[in-house]
Amino acid sequence: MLELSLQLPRKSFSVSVDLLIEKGVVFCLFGPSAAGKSSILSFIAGFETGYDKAYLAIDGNVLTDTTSEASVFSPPWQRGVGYMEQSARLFPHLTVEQNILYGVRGQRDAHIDDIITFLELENYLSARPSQLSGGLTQRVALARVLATKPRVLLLDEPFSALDAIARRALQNLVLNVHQQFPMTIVLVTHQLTEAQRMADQIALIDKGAILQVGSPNELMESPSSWRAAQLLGYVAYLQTFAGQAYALHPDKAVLGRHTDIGICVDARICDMVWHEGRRRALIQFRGAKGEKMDEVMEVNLAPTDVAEVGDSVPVTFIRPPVVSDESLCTYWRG
Amino acid sequence: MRLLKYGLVFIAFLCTAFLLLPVLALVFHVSWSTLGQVWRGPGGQPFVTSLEATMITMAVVVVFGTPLGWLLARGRSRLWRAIEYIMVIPLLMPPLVIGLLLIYAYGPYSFIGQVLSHWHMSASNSLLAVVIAQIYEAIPYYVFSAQGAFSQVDARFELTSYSLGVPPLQTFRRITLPLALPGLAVGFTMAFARAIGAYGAVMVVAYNPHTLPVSIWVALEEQGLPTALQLALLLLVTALPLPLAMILWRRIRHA
Repeated sequence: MLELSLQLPRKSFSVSVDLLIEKGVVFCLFGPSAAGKSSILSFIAGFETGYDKAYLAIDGNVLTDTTSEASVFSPPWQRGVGYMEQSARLFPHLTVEQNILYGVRGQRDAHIDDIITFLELENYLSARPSQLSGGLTQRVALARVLATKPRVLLLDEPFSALDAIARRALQNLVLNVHQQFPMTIVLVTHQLTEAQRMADQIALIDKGAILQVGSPNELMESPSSWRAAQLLGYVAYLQTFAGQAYALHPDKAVLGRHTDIGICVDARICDMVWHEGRRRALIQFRGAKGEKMDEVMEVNLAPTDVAEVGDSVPVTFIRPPVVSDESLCTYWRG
Repeated sequence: MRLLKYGLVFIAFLCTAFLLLPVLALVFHVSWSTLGQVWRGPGGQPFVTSLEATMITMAVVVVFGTPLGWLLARGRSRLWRAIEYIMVIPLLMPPLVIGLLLIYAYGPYSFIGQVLSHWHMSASNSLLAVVIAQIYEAIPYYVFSAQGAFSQVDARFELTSYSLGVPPLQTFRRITLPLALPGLAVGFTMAFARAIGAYGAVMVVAYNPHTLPVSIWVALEEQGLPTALQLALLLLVTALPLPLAMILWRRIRHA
């Protein structure tokens, strides 16, 4: 169990969070850039010290505590917390094997051999970091962290510098590693697909504050606010005459009238675009009397959908969540 | 375009020739066979003194200059910026003035000089005086090179090392120092060349025992150019191998 409470002043805003992370889960801090995610990770690692108020305990072991009279601060090298970031920062003057064994006290043992075998690094042990590809570099960095048997593994956007194929491979690898070598993983990312793919629990963070914590499914089903919904990929909302606002997601829409599974709206297709291998239609809503609305939104099309630009089509948004913000005062907003 | 290129090459050659000509003149003028005689004769004692003093100087420069260079590279406070300015002073002052200031601060009539005399030591006309003068002249070269070298080492390597359970001192020894080593080697070489060739300040604080540069001056005054040139060759043979070896090492390392 990781307990965290932090108040950290920043130039434009203050990071102020309280988190409880269960032992052994993959926990993701997800939010836009400069939201304070990496500061939280730095704090857990012991690098961040300019806080007003802080408390951190891992499995009951207090590592930082400014709230009690006897202030506690455990330095980074005594925390048992592994840290890996976008730039793998392999030590350039050491070989791959020396990098992996860097933080290991004593001789190379079976645990290290398991890691090397699992990450398929046997053939690269004598190579220098400059000779490795981006994906391989991250694998070595992962092996180096795992070799120290950390209680908590912190991953600060470790895949962002990789191409899509290498990123996916490494995401799978981290998940497999998590199964093979159980530990708590705290992942920071600003990519929603990555967060949803990897995390058991996601904390939505914006401007230094936690908006919502839940499983990927819980968050998608019921975002707590319009801002939370926006972070989760909802691009527009529809306010009914009854005063409810429904958040609309491009992936949770189908062409056709299916009132049994969601809300149906009449629209006109303005354009077609490609998005991550799928066709998307840019649709413009029609009002109750058939009048044009100003804003447009994208909806994913199924491979079987036959639609052309200019078509008037009904669009069904499947079980859109209700978001209840006071800020949602206009009828429609993109 | 081609004319411009040839013009630039000509200027480059002219500059190189200007630098090389005096050295070549010395090398071809002085008989190498007499080097042994110089070594056994007037050059022996100054050579030993110079080498002995320079070795002590370089040990002090490295021991004190390395942490100072690291602090200047990593320190954010105004104190380190102020120290940075202070380190520039020896570079800007004429060596003769340095000698005068040193004799005033550490000489026999100064407070420190009197303290030293209680321990039967003197910072005037002694090996200690030579070492003090050499340190004063040489240490900024090493410190600034060390500062540059440590600045080049990404501080996040150190954080990564901490997160792997390695405390700061070990991190410095295993990560920071090896990565800064090429820059430190450059600083060491420059400081070594400056120390072994120190003349102005050394002349004022320690006419005796003669170091090689002082003995060259004395030979020039008393015996004329031929003897002075032989000693000059001995100084070059002593001082040049280290910088040349360092340049070669860097070339091989980056090849």
